[in-house]
Amino acid sequence: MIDAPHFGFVAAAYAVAALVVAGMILAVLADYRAQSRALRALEEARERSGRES
Amino acid sequence: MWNLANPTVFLAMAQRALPWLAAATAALLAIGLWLSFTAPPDYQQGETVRIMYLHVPAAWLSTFIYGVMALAALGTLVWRHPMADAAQKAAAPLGAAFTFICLATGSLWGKPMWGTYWVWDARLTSVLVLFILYLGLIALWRTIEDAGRAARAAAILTLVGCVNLPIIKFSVDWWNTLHQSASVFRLGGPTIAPQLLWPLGIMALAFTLLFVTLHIMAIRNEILRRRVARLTMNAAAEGDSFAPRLAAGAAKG
Repeated sequence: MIDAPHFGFVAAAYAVAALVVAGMILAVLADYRAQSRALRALEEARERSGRES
Repeated sequence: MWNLANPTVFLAMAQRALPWLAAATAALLAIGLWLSFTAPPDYQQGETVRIMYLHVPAAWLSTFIYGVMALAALGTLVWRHPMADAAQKAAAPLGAAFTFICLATGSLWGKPMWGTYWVWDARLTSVLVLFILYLGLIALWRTIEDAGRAARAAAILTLVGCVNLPIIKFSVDWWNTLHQSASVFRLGGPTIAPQLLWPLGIMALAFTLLFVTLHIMAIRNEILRRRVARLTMNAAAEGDSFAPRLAAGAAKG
């Protein structure tokens, strides 16, 4: 298959798709981590201020 | 179904469903990729037919996701439901990504088959317009600070953009285009040989499951983002309410 004419176009298409799909998955996971971290920090701060008052 | 419109119920359901959905997506993608590279080459396109196993599912998803966003836009405008806003906002980047895959892979197939990466024919141009619409919607969400106003503006733009969907679908029938006419979803059945149709179908299913999984994850992120925003505002308001006490304490000191 590698020797087939136009194999470079096939490989490039799969590489582009793999990059975009990986980018989508990583972006969604990174966003989840960021939101979870922010939520945890805010809840901890709220609990702390609740104990202090 | 309506229970899922409750964010807390949605988060609990997502927590349970996501591992299964992710596993099913990975398994289907693996099978689809295996079939894509073991299917025989096309008698005319040769090995480049393998690009179609990415291009066609991405093209199908690019319009399907817009349809999902249009339904969510109706939910925003008619029922004013915040979960509809979240579903619409979460789908836009995924739609843009799948449309980009469709355009890029189509372009990489076009060069060896048509002799050019791009031609301004009706199908290609209408899909490019769809891509720009997705980018416009993402920009709109980011530009308007008030989440409610942003959701309504995006919902209106989404519904206006729906006019592009039949243009994409029927462009190959209405105009003389270099792009081929429908060969899978058509009256009289598919015109593709079963050996090529199977990998195409499995990849389409895998891409659809991938979208469903990522969409649920992205909606979950939107719900968390709103909780973070609400808690931040509450904390700021509480900070303000401390101000008189602080002021009193300062006066005593």
